Amino acid sequence: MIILKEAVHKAEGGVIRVAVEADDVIKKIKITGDFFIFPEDSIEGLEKVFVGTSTDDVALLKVIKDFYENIDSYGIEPEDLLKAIKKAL
Amino acid sequence: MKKKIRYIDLGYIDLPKLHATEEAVAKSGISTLMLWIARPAAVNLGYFQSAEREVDLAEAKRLGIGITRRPSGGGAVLFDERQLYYSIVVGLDSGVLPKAPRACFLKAAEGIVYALKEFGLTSEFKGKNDVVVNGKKISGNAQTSRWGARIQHGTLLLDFDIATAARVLKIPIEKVEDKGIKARDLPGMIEERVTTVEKELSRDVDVEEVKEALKSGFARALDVELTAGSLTGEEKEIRDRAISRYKSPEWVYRR
Repeated sequence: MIILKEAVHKAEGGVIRVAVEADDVIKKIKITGDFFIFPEDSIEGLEKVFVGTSTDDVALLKVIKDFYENIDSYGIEPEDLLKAIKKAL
Repeated sequence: MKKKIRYIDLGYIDLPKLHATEEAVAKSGISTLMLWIARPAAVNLGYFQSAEREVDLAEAKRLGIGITRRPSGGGAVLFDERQLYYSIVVGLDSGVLPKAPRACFLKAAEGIVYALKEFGLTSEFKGKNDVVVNGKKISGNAQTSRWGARIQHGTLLLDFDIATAARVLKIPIEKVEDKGIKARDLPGMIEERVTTVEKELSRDVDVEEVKEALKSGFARALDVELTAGSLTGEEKEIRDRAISRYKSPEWVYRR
């Protein structure tokens, strides 16, 4: 059964809101908030990569760490994204 | 010999046109400081924000407050004529602004702190992107790097329409501990966290005076000389072609 769930995590660099549809894998995810990530449109790419990703910590963290190879963030660490997603799941 | 950068007073401008102007200047590569005032009033969303989660869209419509989205991150703010706004648009490699995000925010804040000092106000950079007076936010700032340029922009609150902001912006539940916060508490919450130049001085201020203070503050912080100028014909063309994109639902409601 697919349920849309939402959660909010306050990181040092801002509020991260996650809305996610998942069972064993992520079907759909939206990451919004008042943070800064550069380049900005990388977030849409991240949301696409998450689709089909298993919802265990290892898999999620790998996607996040790969993402961080190509971006700059300001006060949003990989652990913050992971926390926000896990809170929503 | 100091670097000279262009200064443009954009006057009163609507947000889609303002963002289109920033884009045009970023693309032209002419380092520029712009001062402007938002008209008409609108909510300005940060790039990453969800419109419907941050704004009471029905209430905004009822009040005739438009919804806009900027190309930079950060939070949703009510932009109106009671604030003065700045946009510094410089080549990424021009050396006018530091490349690193935090250093860039600090550099812009330095200009604002100098400007406020001219009014006898002591302020400082706080958190990630705020300038505060007595711990309360008086300036919010954002930045993006696009088209080979850095756009560093922000607001300086001369006055603030707390009532309207409380009506159109949704309660930032995650910013407060007490989950019992009610809608009527929001103006009080805002008042506790935000201040304005007029409130701190207990008097009205002339926006032209503040513009001069900001100009000299930024010139000092950036170690540049400002030369008054205007947009080139090419910049105006790029701007005019870009406006509809910033007005489009695809842009405004992209998240």
